[in-house]
Amino acid sequence: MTGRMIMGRYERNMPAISPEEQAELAGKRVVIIGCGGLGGYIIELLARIGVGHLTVVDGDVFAESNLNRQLFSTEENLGQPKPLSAVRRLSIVNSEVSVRPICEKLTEQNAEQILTGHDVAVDALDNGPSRLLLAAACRKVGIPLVSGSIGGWYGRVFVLEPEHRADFLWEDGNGQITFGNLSCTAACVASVQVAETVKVLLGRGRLLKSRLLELNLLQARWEEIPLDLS
Amino acid sequence: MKIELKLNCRDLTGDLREGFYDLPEGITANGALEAAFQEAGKTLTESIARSLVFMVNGRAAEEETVLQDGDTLRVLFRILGG
Repeated sequence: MTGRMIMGRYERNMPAISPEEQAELAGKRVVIIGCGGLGGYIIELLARIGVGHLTVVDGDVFAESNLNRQLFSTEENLGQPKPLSAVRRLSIVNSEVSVRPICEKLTEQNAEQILTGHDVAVDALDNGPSRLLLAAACRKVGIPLVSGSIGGWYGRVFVLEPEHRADFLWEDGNGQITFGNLSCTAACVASVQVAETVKVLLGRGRLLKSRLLELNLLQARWEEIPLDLS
Repeated sequence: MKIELKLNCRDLTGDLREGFYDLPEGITANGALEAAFQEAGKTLTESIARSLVFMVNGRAAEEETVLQDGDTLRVLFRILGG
């Protein structure tokens, strides 16, 4: 990364991120599983902050019901694969970031291969079973997982080290109450996930390890919940 | 025995009392939550019950986890969207 590059595009990242850290981010590889409500914001923000290599994974296409919150969904790309819209968007936001789209759902067969070669995985999924699968693959590959989830006005974020398990948070209870998904909740949770991801990559700050951050936007309350995963 | 109840599910369960409860030995996590519902004059419905996650002293717990004196029981609801 040249000094001209840093003083242009990333000038306003300074001094929160040092020039040396900026160069470090340029060499990092992050895989984001899900390009929907959380994923769209995560992908855009990681690209803008300067993470050099993003792999974006989603087997879905855009539908009308995505328009309320999914950053890359527009009235013009309904029916198109979500990762390809991410590629198009990032080509005009930060062409210095390399983006690899994978237009497939994460499965037991492809998960390890998709995750291998990355420094961290980011959970932007929308269901429990897929999160269990992603966490298991992160354990096998040995990379941390920045997990996020949303429901209505509520959201949660935490960082899962590969030696720990948090399956109890994702095991589906059939017939459970659903909350919908709001744009503001997706954006808030995604922003926290991006901050945690950058902190993992740079080895800085106090991570949401052994702590679950719960956002309740309806009550304007953020709470840290102690998490013992040992 | 004394159990501390913390609720991260108020928007589902309504205004149950958070804090310390005197409960019989051998009570389960679900039993403790039902006691809180009873005290508030409310009913723990099946749809609410299926939406809940239990933690005891910061660790994962099940509905049938037997509580010990001094335990902190936290009840959250599942948030799985993205």
